[in-house]
Amino acid sequence: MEKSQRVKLLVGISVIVFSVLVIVSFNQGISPYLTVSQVVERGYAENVQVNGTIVPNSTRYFFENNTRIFKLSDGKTEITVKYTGSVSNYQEGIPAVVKGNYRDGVFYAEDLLLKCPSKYEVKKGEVG
Amino acid sequence: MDPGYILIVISFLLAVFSSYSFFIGVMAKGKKALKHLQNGERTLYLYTAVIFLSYFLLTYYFLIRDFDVKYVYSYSDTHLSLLYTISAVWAGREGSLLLWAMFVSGLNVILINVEKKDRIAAMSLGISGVVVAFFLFIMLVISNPFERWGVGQPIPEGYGLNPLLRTPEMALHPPTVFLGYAAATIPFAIAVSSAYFGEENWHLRLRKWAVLSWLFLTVGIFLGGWWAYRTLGWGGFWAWDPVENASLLPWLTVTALLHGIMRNRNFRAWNFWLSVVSFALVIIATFITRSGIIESVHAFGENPEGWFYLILILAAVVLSAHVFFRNREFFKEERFRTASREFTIFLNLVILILATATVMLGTLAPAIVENLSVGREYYDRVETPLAMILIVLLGVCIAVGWVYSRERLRRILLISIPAGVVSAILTHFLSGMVYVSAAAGMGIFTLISHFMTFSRSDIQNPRKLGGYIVHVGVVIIAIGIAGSWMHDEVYQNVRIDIGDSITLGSVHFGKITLKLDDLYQKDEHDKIEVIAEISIYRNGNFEGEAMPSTKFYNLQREDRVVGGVAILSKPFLDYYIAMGGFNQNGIFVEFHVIPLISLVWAGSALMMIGGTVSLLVGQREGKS
Repeated sequence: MEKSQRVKLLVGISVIVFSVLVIVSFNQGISPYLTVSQVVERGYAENVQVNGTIVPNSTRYFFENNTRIFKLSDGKTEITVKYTGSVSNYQEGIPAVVKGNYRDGVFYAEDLLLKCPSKYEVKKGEVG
Repeated sequence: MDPGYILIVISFLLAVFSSYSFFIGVMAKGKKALKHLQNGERTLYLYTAVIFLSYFLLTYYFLIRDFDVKYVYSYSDTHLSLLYTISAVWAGREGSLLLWAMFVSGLNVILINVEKKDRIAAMSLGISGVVVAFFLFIMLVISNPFERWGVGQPIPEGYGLNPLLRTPEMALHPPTVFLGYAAATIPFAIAVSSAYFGEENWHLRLRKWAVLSWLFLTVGIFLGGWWAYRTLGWGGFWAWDPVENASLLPWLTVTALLHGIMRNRNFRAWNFWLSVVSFALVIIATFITRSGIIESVHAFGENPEGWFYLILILAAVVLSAHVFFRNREFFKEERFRTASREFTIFLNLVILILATATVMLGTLAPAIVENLSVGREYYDRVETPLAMILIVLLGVCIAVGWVYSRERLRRILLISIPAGVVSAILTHFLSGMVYVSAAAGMGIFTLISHFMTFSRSDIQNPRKLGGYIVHVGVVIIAIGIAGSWMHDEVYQNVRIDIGDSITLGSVHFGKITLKLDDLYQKDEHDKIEVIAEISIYRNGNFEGEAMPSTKFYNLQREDRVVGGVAILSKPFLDYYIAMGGFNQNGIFVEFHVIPLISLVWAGSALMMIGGTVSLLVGQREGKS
């Protein structure tokens, strides 16, 4: 085989190996999420990811065990979420992702992620 | 109707007329052509002036606190300081679009004054005029920054600027990124115009615009990361968030373009398409950053803006494809040997394009597939090997040289490979951090090639000097990332009571003690702040003080509570404290020990310096 062909082959193989890496990582890296309504519909869910917005004026904070109890909404339905752990920049009214289990009407979150604030748009039509 | 809206209407009509005149002008011949081109030029100045005027008018509304204007209401309030009020003009979508249009029009004016006034310049101005008109059109039909509530009575208070955005770096981040985006329009316009007329040496013409775009994207991405690190409280500067990825995508392709144009005769078609793709990516990025569309598929369907952006991108691609296929002869590339600098550049382009494609896959997947999110593991796994290959390739590429010589390559590798291996072992011995050692090994290998190929006379060569400074910056950032991402030690739910202390045994950094000296409340005119004073000791020695806080802004906004992160920076180590909660007796904090993050900032600084050298000095060279 000619040298240039060998190199082409090598580059080709590398790209294929890389593509396999991408596909595998992608499949492992993605996680489907549920909306709040879907969780409530199920009634019980384990190890799921739920997207929603933290309802304003719904948070209660218990310092003794660093726990927050708040409501998460998708605009239609609300659920109560319980999360223990430090969250910096915890704010109400912003989109959040919770990961954990839902049972007996309460979502026990093991993880709470707040979204980057630069995307937030003010809801139009709310003066004063 | 607000006078601002009328200004947008006028500038839109002028931009359309200007572009039309330029297009007609380059197609026509003789006196007629000249007349059209003069019209195009005059209206170019006019629409630029009107856009600037409307921008100043919007700023004026902010300054006089005219909350009847919805946009002013949404992003400011009466307590906001002067500088943040000025920066609030670009805090939202409408103002950002106006800024975009203003930047492109300003760049058009610069272009007409620095470039030779030929048909390439004229057609380029026609194309970028269409882009200006596009953004003005979006403002006219969907995102009008001058829209008023029209309630008939003055509105006393605004909704306010998100407190998280009230930092100097976040005030400067949007305009820098948007200038980078806007500047990416020009290489695209020049590439298409040159290909259309079959004009040689177009790569030299678009180079400075590409460097300009690259420089501002670099500064903007740096500011965003710096802000995230100092504000968001999770101890990192990059989370592979769609908004961050959006700015990285065009950066990757513009970087590839800057390498491709070093050998245009070998990479003509690549350079052409890299210019086109970079432009498409800045449009996508603008759309992603300012619409939140990536959140769900539904948002895309409901928001007509998405379709407009898609049409602009499609139009750009169709135009480019048309120009490309009608002039295939123009894109004929010279072949190159495998053992050559050209081949390493080719590999560099391939890697950067793979990085672009994979980041894009992760960013856009949630917008295409319903209810899906992509975790950072995906990016970490895919982009890390690419980055490693790129760092090593960089050293090899430099060692190969423009004219391949086996002796030279051998001479450099005989020193740089052992130096890399020794550095890796030594670093491991000293720090015990595996990933840092690997990065240091690869980094030193690459740096040695650079030093060995740089002679004193090269200081006179700004392109080489600038490029080398950027490369050194990239290597230093890579080592910093290895340290701060892979060896960041985090302690969550750390409770400290007033007067008490807590000792944490870290893996690499000895025993660290945090002592809560004081916790108090401070009232200011726009906020109440709860501040904790923490002394930090390492192995019993006092390292310094950090003061994390929680701020309660006096706003109507729901997101008015902000956690103030406190960072105690040492040369090779950051102590990072974010307050998670408090009561009158004590606090909960999230505590990080982050090694080598300083290298990320130092490397970024070098990249910016290198880019500036390359841009400013290259400019002077071009004129002589």
